[in-house]
Amino acid sequence: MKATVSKGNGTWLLRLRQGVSRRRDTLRLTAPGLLAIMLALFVVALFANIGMGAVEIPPAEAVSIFFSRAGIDIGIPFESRTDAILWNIRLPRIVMGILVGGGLGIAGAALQGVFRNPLAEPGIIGVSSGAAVGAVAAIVLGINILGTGGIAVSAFVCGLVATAVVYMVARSYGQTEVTTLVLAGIAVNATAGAFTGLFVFIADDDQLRSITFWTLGNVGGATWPVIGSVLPFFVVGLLLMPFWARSLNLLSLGDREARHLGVSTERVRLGVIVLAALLTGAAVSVSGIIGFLGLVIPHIIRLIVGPNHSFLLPASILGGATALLLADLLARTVVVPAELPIGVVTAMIGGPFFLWLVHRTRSTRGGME
Amino acid sequence: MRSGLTPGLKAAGVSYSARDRALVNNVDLKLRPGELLAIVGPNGAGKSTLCGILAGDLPPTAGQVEICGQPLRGINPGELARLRSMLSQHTVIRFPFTAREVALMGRHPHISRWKAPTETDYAMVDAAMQGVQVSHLADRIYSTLSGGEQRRVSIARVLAQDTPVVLLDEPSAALDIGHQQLVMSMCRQLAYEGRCILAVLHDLNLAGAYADRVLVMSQGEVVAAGTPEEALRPELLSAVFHQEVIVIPHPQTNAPVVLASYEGDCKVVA
Repeated sequence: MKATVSKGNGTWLLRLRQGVSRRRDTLRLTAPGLLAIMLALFVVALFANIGMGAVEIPPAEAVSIFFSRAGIDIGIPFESRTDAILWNIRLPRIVMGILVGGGLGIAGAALQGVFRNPLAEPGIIGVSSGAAVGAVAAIVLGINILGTGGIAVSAFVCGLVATAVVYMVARSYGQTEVTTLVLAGIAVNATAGAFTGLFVFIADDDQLRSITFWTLGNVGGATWPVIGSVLPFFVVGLLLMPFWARSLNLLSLGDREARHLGVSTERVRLGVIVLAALLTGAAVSVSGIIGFLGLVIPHIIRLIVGPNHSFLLPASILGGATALLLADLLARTVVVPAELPIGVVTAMIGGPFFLWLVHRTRSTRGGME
Repeated sequence: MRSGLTPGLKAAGVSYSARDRALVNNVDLKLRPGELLAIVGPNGAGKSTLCGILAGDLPPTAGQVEICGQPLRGINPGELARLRSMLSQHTVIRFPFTAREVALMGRHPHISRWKAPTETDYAMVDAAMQGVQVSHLADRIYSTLSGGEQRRVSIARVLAQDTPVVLLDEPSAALDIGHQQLVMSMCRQLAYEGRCILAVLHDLNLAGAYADRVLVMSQGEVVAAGTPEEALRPELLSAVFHQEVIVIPHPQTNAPVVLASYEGDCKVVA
């Protein structure tokens, strides 16, 4: 009996292993295939976020609530309390997660294209560290003319100012150049880090708590009015960024070649940087610093279906949104009734996953590019 | 090729200086449709700089360039990309695009922003890749190709761009002798189609064999221009290259063949 069991386990394990290795050889995803998988994952993540929590809301009830909101009764009963929880608590948080995740995903993908470098992430143009200064300053100096909204506004404005500084410093005779942009970004990030440190240093205990909370990221503060105030930036960014997709493809030939093919390289660079700053600034100002998403999501998609930005950019929205929904699901269900900061979750899972990915790419393809 | 425009390239008194050093000095040049012009000269003679000026990369510090009858400065980038294509000395591509994707980038100026490439675009890309014998590499990642293969894929990209003026900076570099002839006879073919072809060449013999006219540059200036026989004169080349050369007629075509003249440390065969 004992022998049979262990033998059975052995064959099961063996079969599983063969299955995996066989798949690794033959599984070659095309763009539509990946898109289908990502859409499925997104829907699962969406309904998991709707359903899980102190009150469980099954998908059927959720669908019924959506329809009743549109004035259609599909005959599945639900309590009005469930409707209130879904509409006032879960849904704003989900919508915010989609916007923030999607925004960070596409901003990362586009910046990697503009910088011709897979190491770029939204923070490279100074917007995140600038926003951090703004937020921390607002917390410490008590700028709350607009209630807690003061922190978001201050973060957003400072993030954009930091990016503007990076761009202006790198610009000469109407042209920027990638290395200078990166170096300017590093310098601005360092300076912003110093100011953040200064404010942390003079903060009192309560303020320190708020600062920590903000720095680690959180989409829990989402309400419909907050979403309404940042929605325009997300809409503009998410809709206009794909406009640059083909130009970004050509930019990977280098500036000169791209110009030979009719690309106004400086206009592309400025356009992408402005949109990425709007998206990242809006995301950071309402949800704090959520690391790693903007770096990893475009990477994974590029590894699977290649670097074509016409696919990469929209797919990064979907991938970023899904990843953020899943991370938020973990953040609010793992240590109930408390909540983990979402930045901790994205980095805790994203970091080791990225390490594995880097190692695998190094051993199977020789490197990331 | 676009109709209604007369292909042509004209440079009048073009100069370019950087940090008070004249890299190109007062160059006049005229390229008629159907003509293949080769520019030769020693390293640092200003050939690539001239190419960059003609392509619109560098604004000349003096003089003027006209392309298809229009002053170069007034043409917007998109329109310019439909008038002239340019092969740079080397192209590094950062992301893992396939050879076919790279060649397809040549069609960019002809595809409007929100539209996908049409059958015609793909057909032209395939023809261009076939022309330089890289069809079998279509699905390979560009950066994994050998130097010569990358070169030919880049040439396919330039061909796919389908412009009346074609500028090629060392098209034959990194190519083996067979592919050199392939690429040069393709340049001839492009000229027969009525385009203006300008090629910077390091191999004087390719210039002698394929070019209609040869321009010899030295220290930023044009020191000789004319048919290969007129321009590739031994005393001029010896002075310009600081190397004694002899010029003999090719046994089959009588085109000038330039050989280094050996004195001293060379293997002596009696």
